[in-house]
Amino acid sequence: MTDGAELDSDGPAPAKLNNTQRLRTHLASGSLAAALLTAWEKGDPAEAQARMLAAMTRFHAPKQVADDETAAQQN
Amino acid sequence: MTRPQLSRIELQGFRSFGNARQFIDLAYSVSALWGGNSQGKTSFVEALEFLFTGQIARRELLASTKDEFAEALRNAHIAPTHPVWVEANILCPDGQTRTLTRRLVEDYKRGSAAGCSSRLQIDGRVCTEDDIRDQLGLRLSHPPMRAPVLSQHTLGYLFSVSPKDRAAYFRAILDTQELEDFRIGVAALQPLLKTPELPALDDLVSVEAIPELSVSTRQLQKAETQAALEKSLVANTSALLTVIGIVPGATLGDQATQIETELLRRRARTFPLDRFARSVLIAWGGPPATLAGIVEGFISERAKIDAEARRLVNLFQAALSLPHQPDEHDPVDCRLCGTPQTFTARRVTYIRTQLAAAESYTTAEASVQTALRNLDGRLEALAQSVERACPKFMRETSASRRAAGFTVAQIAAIGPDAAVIRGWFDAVRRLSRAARFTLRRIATARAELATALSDLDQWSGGGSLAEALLQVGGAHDHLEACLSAYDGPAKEVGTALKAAVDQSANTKGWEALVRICRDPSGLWSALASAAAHTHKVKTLEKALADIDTANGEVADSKFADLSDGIRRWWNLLRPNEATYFDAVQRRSGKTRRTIDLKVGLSSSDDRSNAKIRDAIAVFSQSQLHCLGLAMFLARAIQENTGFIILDDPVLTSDDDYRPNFVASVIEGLLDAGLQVIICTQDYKSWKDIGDRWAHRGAVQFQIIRNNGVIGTEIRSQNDNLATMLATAQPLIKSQDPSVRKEGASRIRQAIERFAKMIVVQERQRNGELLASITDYDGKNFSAYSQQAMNLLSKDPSHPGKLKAAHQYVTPGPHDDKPPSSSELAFACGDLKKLKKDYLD
Repeated sequence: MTDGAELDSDGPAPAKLNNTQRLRTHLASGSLAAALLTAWEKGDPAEAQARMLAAMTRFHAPKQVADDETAAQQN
Repeated sequence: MTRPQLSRIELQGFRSFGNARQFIDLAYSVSALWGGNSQGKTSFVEALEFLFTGQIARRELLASTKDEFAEALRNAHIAPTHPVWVEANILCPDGQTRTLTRRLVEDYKRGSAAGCSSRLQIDGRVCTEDDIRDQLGLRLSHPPMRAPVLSQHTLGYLFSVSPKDRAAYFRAILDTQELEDFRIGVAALQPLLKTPELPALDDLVSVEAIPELSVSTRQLQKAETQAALEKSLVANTSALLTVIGIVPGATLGDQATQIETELLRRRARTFPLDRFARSVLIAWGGPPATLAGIVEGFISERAKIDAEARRLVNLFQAALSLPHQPDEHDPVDCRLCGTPQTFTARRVTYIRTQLAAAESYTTAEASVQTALRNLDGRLEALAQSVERACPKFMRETSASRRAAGFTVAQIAAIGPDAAVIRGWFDAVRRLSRAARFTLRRIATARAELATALSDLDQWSGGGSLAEALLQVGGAHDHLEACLSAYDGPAKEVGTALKAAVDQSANTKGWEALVRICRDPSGLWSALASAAAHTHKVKTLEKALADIDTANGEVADSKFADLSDGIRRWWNLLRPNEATYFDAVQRRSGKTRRTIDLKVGLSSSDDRSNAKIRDAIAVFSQSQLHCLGLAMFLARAIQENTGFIILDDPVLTSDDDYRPNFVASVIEGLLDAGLQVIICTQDYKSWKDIGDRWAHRGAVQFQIIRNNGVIGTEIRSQNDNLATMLATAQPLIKSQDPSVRKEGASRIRQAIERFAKMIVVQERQRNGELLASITDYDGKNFSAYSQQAMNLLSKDPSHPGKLKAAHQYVTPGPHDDKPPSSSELAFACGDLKKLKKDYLD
């Protein structure tokens, strides 16, 4: 460890991500968590819960269709 | 410039500041304000916090109860009507200078957790907190420490709070509150995932009670297709039927019927549960809306023709329908009286005329008859429904019930406890009375209808019928309420009885089995719904866990950035120390609520082989203070604040580190582009800052508070006389003679300076523009004191006061005894008064 007297590092600083962008880098794309984050971010904060519930419905909808199709094939 | 900086601050009435407006013009580099204890430094710092946030963080961070801060913002000595405000001219990132003003509207109040209220303006226009960011470019942090202001109170707070509050503090610094809000928002979705109501699954649970099943309910739940589920159900019903000695039918439906038949047979042997059966009461919407019009039309038509004509209408119709009608020249015999040749064409014409007149009446009569008969039919259906809506046991005689074994005693013997039975029995009585009452009302209405239909010619028009129908409606509503009130207790009794009966008859679970066998697709879809619900719940749980992990990763990376910053400032404040700050981090990868401050302990100056420990456990108060300052500075850099305001950033006891702060730290802050505003009670540091950073345009001020009513005053560095008095003030009351001696020396210097200043002032007034205090350098007080005293003409006592003050603080040739505190106080007080009267 050095005295660290220099406060500014040399070279161009990398583009800074905001918190939610940083959070997204740690969430698997296509995951429910990522879908909820998208819903949370976009739009009026007062309606965030409704958007997240809708996102959950959308997230599960394709799965259910696939399940139904599988069941239909088996029947 | 991309960040806002402060060019001027003005304030009035805030805490220690009094009626008079105070202002300072700041340097964009360093502005240092010096003041002794209780002069108003903290008031100044908190005034800026109030300006930017509308609150003071100390109340949020330190107050054990908010009441302690009641009436804390307004100077206690000024009139309630006197305005309290703080204002700053701010050089904004767009190059414009704007004026931000906040006026106190209502101070903190006792008994109210709510904060104070204030009015915020930019350039005289009312604005919102968001405008501070949008118009001024100043981005405030999350509460509780929103403004770039570090006071002694907030600095020490961090090391004494609970781990939870410390975590909240760091969330504020890391500025990750929005991620916490997101996490809370997602967690709030969990209770919204309501478990669907699935009676078929309840039945499946009940079926578990049947020991004869060949396929367990757990296996049923795992069926991959509906066909497989039905196959398993058939296996179960077949197994049950075989065990009870019945040859299973061909289909699942057949077998369900077989089980149900056997179930009813077995139950009937134990208790006649079927006596509880009842139908739904049909709705009663009253008579049709058209009835009144039809009756009115009939009454109207009836009035148009006389009673005799109405009476003979049938006779006339009969006469016209006779096979041999007379013509003009061929009358026929009357069929009624047998009089020959009396049924003539003329009489036929007369009859036709009479019938035409009665035709509308006939139509109206037919309509009313139809309407009344229909109504009667509905009432009859209602009466039947009332009967069937009552449980079967109410429709049979007591003898019949006893014969079937349906008695209260028997019910009590089998199942529910007495209180439940009492509740049910009360409901039965109320229901019985309501049913009988309704039937009576229906009978009355039907009697009215019968009367009308039997003699429409004399019917008065339905006043009493309407009243009777109204009564039916009321009775029906009451009956519905009684049925509703009955259902709860009846279900309770019935459920308990069924359980007891099924236990006794070895038929537990059969009824549920019958239901799911009758509707296997219902069970299949219920299983699918339950699985989908479970999947949703688990997916959301996983999402929450993913978010926790990701939030932790974000926090770790931000902590790492912050740690780098804190280390830099720590090393500037305390270079080359073996004990050093290492990192701020989460206690573990899984925790969100506990934040640790880690330090390195090394035995050598190169910090080799350091042991890592918790700062709060091993750091001294001085080190913790230094760490708090380093964290604040790192935060200011991280949040890209344009300026910082520091209230005594270095402890009085940390003399060794003051040069590091004054030199290295301020240099670092200026190099990082920060405007620095420092309040300190350390005179040396203040002087040092002024000298060291003069080349960067540093400015200096004194903060002085001579009396509570006038309040704190801010003076520029040129007012050295005020500074001399202020530096002497703390020494006056000391019990230590050597300290008082030093105080006397400072007051003496101040008196001599005052005398020089008043003489120079007079010379300048008389045209000697180059007259200067330095003209008297090296001269004794006696050389100019008389001249000065001659100028003190506003009050005859003034010359004597100056002379006495000087004598108090001037020792005799062999006088080692210092002046008393009282003498010093008089000397200091008189000099302040003279200064105010002649120089201010």
